[in-house]
Amino acid sequence: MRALLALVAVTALAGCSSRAEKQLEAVKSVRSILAEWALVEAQASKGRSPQTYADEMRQDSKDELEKAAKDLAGQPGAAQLVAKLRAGSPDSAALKQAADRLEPLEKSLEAA
Amino acid sequence: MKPLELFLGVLTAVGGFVDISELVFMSQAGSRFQYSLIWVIVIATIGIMVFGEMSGRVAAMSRQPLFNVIRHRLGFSLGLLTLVGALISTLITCAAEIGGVALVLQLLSGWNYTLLAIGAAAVFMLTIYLMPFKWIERSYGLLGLFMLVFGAAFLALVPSWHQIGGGLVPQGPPPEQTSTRDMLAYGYFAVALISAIMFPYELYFYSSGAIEDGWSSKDLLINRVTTFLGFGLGSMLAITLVCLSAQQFGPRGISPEMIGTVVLQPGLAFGKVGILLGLLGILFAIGGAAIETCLACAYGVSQFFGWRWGRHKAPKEAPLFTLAWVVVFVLALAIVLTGIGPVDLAEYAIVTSIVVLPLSFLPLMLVARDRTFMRDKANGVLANTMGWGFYALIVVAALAAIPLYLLTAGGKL
Repeated sequence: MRALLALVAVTALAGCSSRAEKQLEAVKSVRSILAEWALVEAQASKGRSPQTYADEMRQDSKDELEKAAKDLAGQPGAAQLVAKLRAGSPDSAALKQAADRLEPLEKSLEAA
Repeated sequence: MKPLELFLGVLTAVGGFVDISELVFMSQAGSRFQYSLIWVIVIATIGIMVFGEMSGRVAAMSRQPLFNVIRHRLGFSLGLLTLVGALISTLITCAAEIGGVALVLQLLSGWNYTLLAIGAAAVFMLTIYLMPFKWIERSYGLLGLFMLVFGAAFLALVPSWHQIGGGLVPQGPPPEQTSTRDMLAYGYFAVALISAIMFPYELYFYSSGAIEDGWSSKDLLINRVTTFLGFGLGSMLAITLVCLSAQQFGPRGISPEMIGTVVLQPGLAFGKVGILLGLLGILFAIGGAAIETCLACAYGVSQFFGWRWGRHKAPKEAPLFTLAWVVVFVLALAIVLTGIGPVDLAEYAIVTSIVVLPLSFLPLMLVARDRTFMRDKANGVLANTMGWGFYALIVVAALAAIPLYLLTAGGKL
């Protein structure tokens, strides 16, 4: 019985660790995608990128954010932020700001 | 030897050096670890020069392509294992390249990704069916020189020569990145860069191409110049991707998750023109790699089982070879259509390829040093020493690849 409990505890710990790492991976991905999208918007607003390219990158960013955000279920604040950005047409500054807002979460997950 | 032939061969090697895995991993490595992995790229480039030269020399002297040598030296069972591993890794790479081409076409046109992937695979099949081997090699290789816009962007954005020079010295990650997580990720990127540069399909294709082109002992100088100069210059282009990323992406918190992001590097320097030229360069570079990987699979399986093979033969003269490359494209397209992204596929390809490398390179080393087989063109002391040194390196990298991939979630942690 003790051995079984120990096994369950170890499995649970491994599960927690794995979930935390998944969340860290997701937050890192989200922050990078937001920074990529921000750069696309910055270039587009200056007329320094082809229209089709900018449109497609915008859509790709939204799609990639959707994928990455699936692992953010345990972080409702971050998930809501991503959902809001995906639904709108944020500019470069808003995207940079969103990436910065997620930095403390990344740091805390790294420290965990 | 014609100088023009030599010049075109070098340019083709340069244009064909970068493929989707290099694009992804060079950019991510530069962004995360700045210039500190440049020395790994230099070492891996010397490695591919050494083994590339060896495979071309063996092909020119013995008219034996690599998979004949593998079966002969490793025996049927171990040879078959190598073939299966090589086919899996090269097929995944081929799928990544086709998916990458479809993504680039989508960024250029805005059309549907699935239709573009199907269209790209159809164009590649027609290319192989209609064009002679040399034209295929040259056209994609030379058009891949649009990638030089990355080199121009590197120069235009005022490179930090001091930091780049520092990156040539063997070292660990930057001082501010010494946590266990960073150390493991650094190890993963080092292994991934070695794998991306020393992809086994490059040797299967290169040695088979030497036979397609009818190389003999007279072509050993072309072989040497192409591998040393062509791969060397190609590698410099790859290093510019690392440097641009370190300079432009790292400080912005970007670790490119999308292929389209990479062209923002020339975009930052040259605006719309930079982005368009970058997209064209990537399109032809990875388009050429899609054809190379497909043919490498067909060469491997045909050579191993002793079928008639080669693009210098009409399809009806080599029906099983023709069937093989058609099947490879269909399977690769099927993988793309499952919805797995090209960047993810490139990661899987990197890990599977490095595991296959030791089995692919061992028979090559054994044959290249064998004087009964190679006569006066067998490996000398330098080639043997370097060959075994690099062999030890890839064995270590192969053993570390999967644990590092799992521990770092493919470098994302």
